[in-house]
Amino acid sequence: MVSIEPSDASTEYDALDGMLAEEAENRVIKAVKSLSPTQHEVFLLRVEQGLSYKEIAEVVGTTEGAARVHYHHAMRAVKEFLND
Amino acid sequence: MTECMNAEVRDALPDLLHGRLGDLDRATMKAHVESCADCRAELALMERVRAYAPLGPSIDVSRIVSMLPAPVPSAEQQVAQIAPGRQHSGMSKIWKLAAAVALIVAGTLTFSKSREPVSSGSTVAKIATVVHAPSAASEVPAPAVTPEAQPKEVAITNPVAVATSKRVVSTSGLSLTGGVQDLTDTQLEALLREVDNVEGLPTAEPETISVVVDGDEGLQ
Repeated sequence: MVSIEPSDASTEYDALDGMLAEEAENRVIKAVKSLSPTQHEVFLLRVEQGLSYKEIAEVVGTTEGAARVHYHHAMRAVKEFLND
Repeated sequence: MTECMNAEVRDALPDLLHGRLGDLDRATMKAHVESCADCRAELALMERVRAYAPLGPSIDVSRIVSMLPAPVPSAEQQVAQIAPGRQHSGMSKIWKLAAAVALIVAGTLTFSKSREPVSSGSTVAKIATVVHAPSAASEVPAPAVTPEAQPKEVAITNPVAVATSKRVVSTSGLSLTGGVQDLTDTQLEALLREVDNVEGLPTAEPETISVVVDGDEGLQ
């Protein structure tokens, strides 16, 4: 005979939490995808890959300063998208 | 969501996220993030973006690869690339076979040439020796031979004479050590005719040279 513990049951809170998490994930994804191609590339190289601006500049084919500007513009655009 | 006014710290937030800071910088950054709500929120956003890795970076790999310098293949790779083409080439086999045949023929000819006994090939040398061998019994008048009329030059510059002499020598069976005394009268006459026909020989009698000396200046 299998005993069921209270913690095994899926609660309404868990379901709602999952939905919110999924919604938050989708919003972040949409925010990142709303970036221009260059901003998108620079933003992911910086945040997801952790490359330095110098490395990003070499990959993208631009200058270090331009890569920094692209990143900050991308970060600002993502924040604005999420705040809307 | 507002932005922290410290741009340097905001620049370094991704480095803090990926652990690319030194100990001192990391401690400073952590202290700042604990006290700055904007930086905490931005760092949390980065963590979410990083967690949602399936976002799929839109990195154009082909473009990156095209920008990279082309790798230079090593010598072994170059040989490996070339070798298969050669193995399957019919023309290459033909050329190899032709080269092998040419090599064998050249080697055989060289070997046979080197083994060939000294015979007709050195006839010119024989004749040169015969023609100009000093002999007490020779009736050939000894003209004043100039350096230009040395034995070798006679043999080389007058091929007709050489050919004729060749015949004479071959019929009489002269050896290298033979002299004019071994020749018959007919052969000697023929030889003399050929010598007479050689151009460039000086006349038998030297020309008289008259030296005029100015009386006063020459004596001084």
